[in-house]
Amino acid sequence: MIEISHLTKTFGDVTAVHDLTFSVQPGEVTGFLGPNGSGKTTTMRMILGLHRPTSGSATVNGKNYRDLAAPLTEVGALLDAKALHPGRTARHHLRALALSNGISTSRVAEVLNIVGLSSVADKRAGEFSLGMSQRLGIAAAILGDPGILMFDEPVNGLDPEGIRWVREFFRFLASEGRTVLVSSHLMSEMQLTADRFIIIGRGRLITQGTQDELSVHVRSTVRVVTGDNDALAALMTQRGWTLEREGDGLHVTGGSARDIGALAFDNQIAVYELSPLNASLEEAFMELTAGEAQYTGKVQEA
Amino acid sequence: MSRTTLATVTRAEFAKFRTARSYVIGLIVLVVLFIGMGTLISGLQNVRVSDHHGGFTASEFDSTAFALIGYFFAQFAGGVIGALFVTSEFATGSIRTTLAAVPRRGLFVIAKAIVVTVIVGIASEIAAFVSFFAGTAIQPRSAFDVVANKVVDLPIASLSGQGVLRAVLMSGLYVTLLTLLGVGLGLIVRHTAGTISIFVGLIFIVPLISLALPTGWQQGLDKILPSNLGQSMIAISQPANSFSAGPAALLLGAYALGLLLLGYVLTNRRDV
Repeated sequence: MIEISHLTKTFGDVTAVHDLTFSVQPGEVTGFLGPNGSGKTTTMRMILGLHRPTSGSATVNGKNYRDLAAPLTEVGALLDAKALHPGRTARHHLRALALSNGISTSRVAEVLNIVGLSSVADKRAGEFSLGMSQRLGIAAAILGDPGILMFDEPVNGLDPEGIRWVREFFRFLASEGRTVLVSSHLMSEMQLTADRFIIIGRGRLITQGTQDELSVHVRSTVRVVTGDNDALAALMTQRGWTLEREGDGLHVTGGSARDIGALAFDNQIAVYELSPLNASLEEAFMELTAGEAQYTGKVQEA
Repeated sequence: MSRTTLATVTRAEFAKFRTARSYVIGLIVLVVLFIGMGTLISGLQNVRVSDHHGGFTASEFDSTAFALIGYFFAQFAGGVIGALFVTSEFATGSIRTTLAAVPRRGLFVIAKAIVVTVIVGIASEIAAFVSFFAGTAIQPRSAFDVVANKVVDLPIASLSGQGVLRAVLMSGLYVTLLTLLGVGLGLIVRHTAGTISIFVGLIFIVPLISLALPTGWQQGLDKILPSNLGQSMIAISQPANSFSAGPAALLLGAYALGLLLLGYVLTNRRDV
């Protein structure tokens, strides 16, 4: 279990993480979401004792990371797949890590096999593609068979096959009762992997919850096209539903397709089109984090 | 039950040293420079004494110093190995992987220092002895002395000679301590180029600056410069204004320890 309590980190006068409080439970995959620069990596570094919190605390299994007797056997982390000496082979890289924590070196061949890198174990890590490096980073994370696993943007550079494997692997790790925290800036990716979400923006917690709990943020809109849009619009406004005119139709929020159809029928308005426009969790995420993105690009009109 | 201890971390750092090409190449360069320059300079003495117009006198002939001269070149290889062993972790970002596995940063610093001391120490001492034997073996046995105006036998050093064994051991120790200086600087500076620049500056540039100082300061500074401490450690008969070998080695050791300590304090405090 990972517990974050009022965690704050400032770099000079920039606040990277602000008063963050959440916990990550065992037995499920928790998605850690936020736009680039929202403080996900900084938070993970503080959990690993790499960054010192300005205030607040981050503990793993109730202890400060620095107090763990053999850290790799309790927490495995993949922060940056390229954070290794490029001249060392995959096998030697893992071997040195195993030695440092007194982990049996026979485990090295095992984890290389699990991530599918056995055939390139004696190639220098600098020659690896980003996808292969991610696999090596995952191998390093599971080296000590830890109960807590953290992965920072693990699908970057993976091919579709690799992405599917990672997804299933994370679910498998969680099903074994492990705590799995996976960061991403893509809700569409996490939606398929995570049971629970923690969403941050500009270092602050925006919301957290299960997929169902988050779907209350999902506005469902219904598109309706009728023979007399104006009449229907008046009736719907009376009921307190909000609407927008879109082309030859209306986009209605507040009433379901069933409600709208019934209302039109009761008032003898011909309905030509009636379709629910279900917003995805992705759109909810975009909406929640709108204005929280640190770096936003604009499309210039020519 | 696995545990992270000084022993496990040291074993890991040993493995890291052995499995990266750059350190191994550095070590080969160190040994080749040490032995190569010692035998080259020793061999060249044959040319020097045969040049009768050169005005050679036997009193200029320091057999031990010629045979061990390679230490001066080897110290740069040592400094680069020491610096790189630390700074490459920062340059590649592997420092985060390393410190996530070993969050007690004191263990990390001590393990790095132990590994470098043992590996470079053994290599330097072996190189010192090989260089001494090879160098003295090919040095000229006699030469025409212009003051005595006749051919005289030259004093070829042997390990049983006064202070000779100490000089050989000290030359290896000097290179080892300079390597540790590189480790300490690397921890403080964290950038490869910056660390090596400061290291070279300390050996080459500071003595030049010292020349521009008032005489009293100059003598004080010269006495405690790493390169001059090295000369004091290796000299058979001490030059004026210098420590004797033992105190010189202790002072240089204190430098290395001081930089490592400062390196530890900074490493412990900084975010990585």
